[in-house]
Amino acid sequence: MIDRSIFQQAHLGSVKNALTAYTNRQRVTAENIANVETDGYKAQQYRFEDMLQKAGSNSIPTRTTRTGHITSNSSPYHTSGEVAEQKAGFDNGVNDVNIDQEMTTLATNELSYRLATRLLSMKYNVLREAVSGRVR
Amino acid sequence: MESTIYTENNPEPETDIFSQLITMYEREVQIYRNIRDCSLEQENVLESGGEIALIQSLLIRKRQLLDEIAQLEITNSSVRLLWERRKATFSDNETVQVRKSMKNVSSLLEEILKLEASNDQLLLHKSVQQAV
Repeated sequence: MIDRSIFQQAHLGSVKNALTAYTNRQRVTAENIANVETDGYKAQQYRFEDMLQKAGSNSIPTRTTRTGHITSNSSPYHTSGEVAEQKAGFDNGVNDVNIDQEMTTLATNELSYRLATRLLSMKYNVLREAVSGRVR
Repeated sequence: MESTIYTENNPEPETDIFSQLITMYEREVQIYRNIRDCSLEQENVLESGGEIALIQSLLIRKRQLLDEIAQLEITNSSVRLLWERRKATFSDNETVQVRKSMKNVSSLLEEILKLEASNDQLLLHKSVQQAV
């Protein structure tokens, strides 16, 4: 009971969800890049930030400093994403995959994944410190 | 200059372990602040509709900084291990300081991840605008 409460407070599950979301986005982006020369292919996108509005409010508030930012008190950590076709418009001559955009998404996603991994590791360390602390 | 080899019979002084650990976390905080600054700059670039090449250069910088942290942790892995083993011998004050340092790093990481999520959203808007 106490363990569960400590782990819930540490938001470990939410960081794990974020890692799953980043993994899914990496797969979708890699698929787009692999199909850059496939005739008629429709570029996909994995959106989980968009699901924020649908998510509950029992989460970490997101940062909203500009217009266009998410105004919800929800966090991407608590949502599951969805794969959808990208809005049509870009044309590379064969299909609608914008390779510059996909490479940037791949790089940002990889960075976020690494940061989330470090956060998870650090949260475990903080918990371990607290649990194994001495009683004098 | 000869470096000291610490063994079970000749253990590393506890003050060294503590100060090395604190120094490592302080350095991590500095690097994460640099990453946060890069993310804030990325936000500004995205807001002002800047070039994707500029965003990519910021991403490369952030990757380099993360590599630096990974290297720092590898270099200090023995210090962290020694801290774990001898934690009970340190003072309450030292233990509290280590916990505080860890929480500082943790908070900064959360802040950066939130910024990254906002930036992802802005990047998505940018691509939609390009497409329309």
